[in-house]
Amino acid sequence: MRGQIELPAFAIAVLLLTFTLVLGITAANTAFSNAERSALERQTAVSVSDQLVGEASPVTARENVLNASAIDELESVLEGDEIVVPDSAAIEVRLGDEVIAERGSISPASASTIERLVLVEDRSVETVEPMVTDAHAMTIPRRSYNTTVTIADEPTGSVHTVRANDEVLLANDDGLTGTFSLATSPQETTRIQFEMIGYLDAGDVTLQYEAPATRKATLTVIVDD
Amino acid sequence: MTRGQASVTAIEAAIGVLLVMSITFTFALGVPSGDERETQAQLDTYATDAATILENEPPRHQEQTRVTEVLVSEDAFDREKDDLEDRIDRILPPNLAFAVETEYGSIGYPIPDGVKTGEATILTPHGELTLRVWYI
Repeated sequence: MRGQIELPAFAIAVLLLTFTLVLGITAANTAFSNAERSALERQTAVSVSDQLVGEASPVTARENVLNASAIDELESVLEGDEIVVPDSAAIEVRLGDEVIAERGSISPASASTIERLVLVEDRSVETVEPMVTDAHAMTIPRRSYNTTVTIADEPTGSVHTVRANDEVLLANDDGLTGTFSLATSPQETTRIQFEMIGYLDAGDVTLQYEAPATRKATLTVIVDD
Repeated sequence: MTRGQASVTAIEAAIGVLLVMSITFTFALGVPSGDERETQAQLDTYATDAATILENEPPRHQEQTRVTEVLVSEDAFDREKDDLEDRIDRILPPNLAFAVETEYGSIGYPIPDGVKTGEATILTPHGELTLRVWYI
């Protein structure tokens, strides 16, 4: 008598337990596989971002400093061998809010994102036309690259020596005319002095150098596997 | 009589369900979530990136880099700290706050209790500078 009454209750209890167990195991399994997948995905995002901002990267000037002119080529860089991206992964690289490279399609819900702080260095060519006199020195800032000087051929006077920080870079007793590149160091500010005979008008001597200007930006790498 | 016996099984089943559920929840809540680790990693990345950028900045007056210059002496630190604060503020995204610790004092904001921070240290010949960042 007792056994028979217990039987339906027992069956329901077993059913309930089994149901809970299945539910629990399914939930745990999903959670684990999600965690594992996103960890791999994240690893990919981190490694790609490391490669992008590293010193050896084809798009950087220095560590964490991107070259503004190289940003447009990023798409082809991702295709090439220099940066290793798993073939199966969809990837998107943004600079600020702008998408600069994309491969495959990303679904925001399942993607892993990493943000890197970078500077973007833009080298603009600065041209100055100093008033050239013996007494007047002109200074170009540190981190200036590819300095050139152009001296016009004027009958009123001529430059015969150009010195940078008291070191003679160019000299010609008959007068210098034409365009010369000056070997100045980007490590220090450089005072450029001209030694001359006669006089030259403003504009007869032109100095050009590439001055880097940096702005800060956030580089976002999104990977969806 | 019948009612009493049936409820014992029901109680047993209920305890069983509770047991299974508790194990499930231990797994679900006990394992640190991926989001938490990602937040920590992202904060550390922010700190490291900011430190790298600072490390390569040219000095304003003397020494090799900006950071070395700041750490040369207490006077140098006092002179440069406002400028350094502005600079770090500009490098970091607006959703982050920071604190810098050096042997001469600190710059930035006080770190709130219990907040997760990312950390990076810059070594210079004159001492070290520790940068901590957190989400605000």
